[in-house]
Amino acid sequence: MRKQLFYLTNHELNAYSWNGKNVLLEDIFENDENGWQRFAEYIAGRKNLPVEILVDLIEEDFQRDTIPHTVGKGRRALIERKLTQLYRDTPFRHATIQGREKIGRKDDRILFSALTNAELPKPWLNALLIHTVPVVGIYSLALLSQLLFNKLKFGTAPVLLVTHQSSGLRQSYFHEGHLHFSRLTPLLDQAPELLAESLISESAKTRQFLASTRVLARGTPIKLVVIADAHNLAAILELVNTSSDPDVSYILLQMDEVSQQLTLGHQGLSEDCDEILLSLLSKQRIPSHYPLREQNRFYQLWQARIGLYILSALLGLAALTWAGIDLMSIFDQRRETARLRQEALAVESKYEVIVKNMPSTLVTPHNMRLVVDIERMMSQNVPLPNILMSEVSRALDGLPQITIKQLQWKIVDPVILSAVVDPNAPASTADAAPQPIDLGLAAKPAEILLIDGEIKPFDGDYRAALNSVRMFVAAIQKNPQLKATVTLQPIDTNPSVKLESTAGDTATDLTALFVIKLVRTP
Amino acid sequence: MSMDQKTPAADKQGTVTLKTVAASYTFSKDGYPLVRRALITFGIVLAISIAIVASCRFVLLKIEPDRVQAQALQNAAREKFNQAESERIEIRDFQPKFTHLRERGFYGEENRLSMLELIKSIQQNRRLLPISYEFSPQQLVPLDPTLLATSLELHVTRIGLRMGLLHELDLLYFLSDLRAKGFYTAKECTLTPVNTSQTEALAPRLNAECTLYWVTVGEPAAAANTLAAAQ
Repeated sequence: MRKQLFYLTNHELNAYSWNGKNVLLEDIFENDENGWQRFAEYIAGRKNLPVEILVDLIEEDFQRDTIPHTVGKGRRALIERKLTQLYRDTPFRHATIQGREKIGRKDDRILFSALTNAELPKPWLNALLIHTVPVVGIYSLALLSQLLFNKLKFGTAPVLLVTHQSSGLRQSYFHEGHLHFSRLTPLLDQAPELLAESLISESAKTRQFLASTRVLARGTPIKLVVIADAHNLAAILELVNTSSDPDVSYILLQMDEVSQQLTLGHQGLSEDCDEILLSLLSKQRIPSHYPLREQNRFYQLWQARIGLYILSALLGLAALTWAGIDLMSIFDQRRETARLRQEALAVESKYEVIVKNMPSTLVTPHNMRLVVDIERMMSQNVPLPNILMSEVSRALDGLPQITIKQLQWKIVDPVILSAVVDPNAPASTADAAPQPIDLGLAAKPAEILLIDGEIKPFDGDYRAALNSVRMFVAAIQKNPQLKATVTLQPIDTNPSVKLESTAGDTATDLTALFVIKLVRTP
Repeated sequence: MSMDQKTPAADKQGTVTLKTVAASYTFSKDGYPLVRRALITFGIVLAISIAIVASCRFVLLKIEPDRVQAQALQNAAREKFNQAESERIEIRDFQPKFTHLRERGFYGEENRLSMLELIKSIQQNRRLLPISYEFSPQQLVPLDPTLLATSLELHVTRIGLRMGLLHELDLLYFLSDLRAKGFYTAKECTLTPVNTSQTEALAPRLNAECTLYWVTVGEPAAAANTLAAAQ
């Protein structure tokens, strides 16, 4: 996303543009009436681009303190009260929470900072407000150096980070990974040799100050990290080599190396670190360090405007997608409708051909089929007496002593077979309509043949008579489908019934009658 | 608007200007113009989107009944075709047999005269002893609709037969011949030897009594009348 970056110092405002990859210097405005007017004209043509302001001012104060540990609204109120106490005369104040004390009440450690000369940024902010430019935030270079420090991974040891800025030398002291103090030393001359001398002398003063305020104990080793361009670093290196302070170890970093390490892209021909820190700021979404108040309103409106455009685009896209899907459905449905109608016509014409060639019948084909099926079922299921009678004829061969007195054949429902065994039961009720089973519908009926017979001649030899009946039954049962039961023997030898006969009687009326029930089940 | 007026060098005056600008801010005058174009764009896009989507939905809903109707038409045509095809196959498979059954008298009205002639014919051809018979009134047999469609009815006439036999095979031949020409089922038969001293060669040796069911299938009377009237 494109945006404008303003680098504000005590003497000037450098206007940069961010194209999504690199920062490009557009213009420089002196901090005087002429500069403000030119600035107003400059932003009048760019008032739709959001602005981030990075301030690098001498009048920025830092105080590290502790407050009782609280959360939520309580903490915010406590911090606000503390800020008001410390910096009553400026609205540009900020608190950075830096963890908690390790001993005692474990209070919160806070770094309070403020732009003590509140009037300095106001002409610039005033112009931005008048031209309704959306301001994303006002950022402190000193506070932003915490981000640079973290990315370069210097650890928790005491570090004095010195960066060469267009405004001078920015010295920021870090201990245990947190920013404790920062100061800007303006440079009257940017020549490498003078810069190197200033660096050595100003860093010594800063260490002296830290020691005197007991922020850094005397004799504590400290790393002095310098970020500058190659020419300046060469000059610094010469002086460093002659330095004999055993407590200070120097780390000299070229701007190009830092840019590569932080993947900030090409930084142009700049001799200072302004663009590195601006790139760092552009690539991150950082909440404003110092409050925006009125300026923030136009940024919110800008966000609303962009949001509405994005929403409009998404809505339009969604509507077009929806409409596209619906249009495809419409075409599909029309194709499908045409296909169905065509298919219906084709089927209809096939139907016409069949109907035209179909022979006329007396009954419907369905009924025709039913008639054939029912006749087939009845023919298969209902037997004639032929089979059982043939079996009896076969069994009688070789048994001339057996005389048949009566053969009674009938068909019955297999389910009620047992109820029909009574030979004295009526054969059938004359007027009753036949049951479906009698017609062989749905199931096959069973056949019963009651054989009423007599042993002839019989001379009173019951053993021979019984044997003859047994032989007759055995002959019948050679067919495994048949089940023969003697229901009446020539003489009943069952001990549980009464037996009455005459022995030695040669009368001719002595008979040996028997009844056999022959069953053939389906 | 010059910077001299709005942002004078004097700090105090600059503060006053900033406060004045901030205090005079109203959304309708200062804020709305900044988002007006975006709002109008959004409104237009919203209206066009609704119009496009509504139009497409409207057309879609309008053509849906056409498709449903075409589907119904196709289903009906296919069903009709399947029915006709099924009937064609049924006619091909069952008409010869049905014609035979109709000729045998299984389908259609009971023809007692033909049956009497048939019995007489068998008796004469087989040279059987005289046969006496008794036809009961025809009865309707109620059947499960799964067995026989309600468009058809099954009728049964009970026939009682009495005949003298020279040999039991005479009965079996008679029954077989009867079934070949007409359709019946046998319910029961009783064979009893004749205890007689007759010496004539043609005197019956056995008496047979049988109960048969003469079965016919036909359309209900009302339907048959309608069919007859139509023919």
